[in-house]
Amino acid sequence: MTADALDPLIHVPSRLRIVVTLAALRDGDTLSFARLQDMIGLTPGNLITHLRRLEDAGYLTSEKTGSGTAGRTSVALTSRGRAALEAYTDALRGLLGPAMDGSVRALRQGE
Amino acid sequence: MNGTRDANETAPADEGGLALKAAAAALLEQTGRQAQRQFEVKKPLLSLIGAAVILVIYGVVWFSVRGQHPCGGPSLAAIAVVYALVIVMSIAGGTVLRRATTGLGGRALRGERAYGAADRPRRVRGGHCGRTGRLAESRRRTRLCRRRRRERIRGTGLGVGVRRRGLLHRAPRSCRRSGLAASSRMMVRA
Repeated sequence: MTADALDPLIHVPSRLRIVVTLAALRDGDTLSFARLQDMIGLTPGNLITHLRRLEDAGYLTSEKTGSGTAGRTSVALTSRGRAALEAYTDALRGLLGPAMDGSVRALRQGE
Repeated sequence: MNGTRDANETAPADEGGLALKAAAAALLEQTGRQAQRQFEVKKPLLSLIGAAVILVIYGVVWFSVRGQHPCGGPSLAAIAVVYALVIVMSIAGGTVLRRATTGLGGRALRGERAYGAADRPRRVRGGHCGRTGRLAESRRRTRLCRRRRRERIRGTGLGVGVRRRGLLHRAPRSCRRSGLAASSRMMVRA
């Protein structure tokens, strides 16, 4: 197992946190932009940039409802994003050994 | 010599890479746990406090009625304490639920509604859907009644000159019951 096996898109700490947070939701659930920002602690500009990159890769979908001040953007992890995170976790486990098992278990509980 | 130097040069890079991966693993685990905790609705601590509050309520009522001969029921103060505790617990439960479900959508929110606490959104949406459904059903019945009436008028060959009262009495029961008499009269007149 080499470091190349780690998905560079997810390997960035901020994006890793976004993907893991969204993976904690059940399949098909969405999370609002505001709540995600609150949980991750990024500025709106940074968060939008990371979300766009993940969306371009097909790892998540975003949906905007309403307009103006009542507008609400929600994001959800796609099955592709979930699979990418699983692959990333497996790769990390292969590199680091069984110390990763706790995190994998925690992730699988969220599915 | 060269080999030794190479090994010495690559070792820190490997260690650094390994440290980064370990940091990524730690971040993965920590973020996963945090997210799980924040989305969790059934907080064990809240359940424990709720159980303790129920015990306190029982204790308060028991102290209030203890030694009464004949039994006159709990005092007003005891009842006030019980109500206050129930209200505080309801508010605390509602706050925890609201915090856990803020910003969530999709199946999660439906699940929380099934859990029985996100009452307000359900009423708003359910009410709207219910009203829409009832209106649609009412409109459908109205259209059906009008069509039947038109067919009856055509069938009798009376057309516009038909007596209103008689026609209304012969109207289907569902039309009479649904309060469509006025609209029917208007239609017959037209």
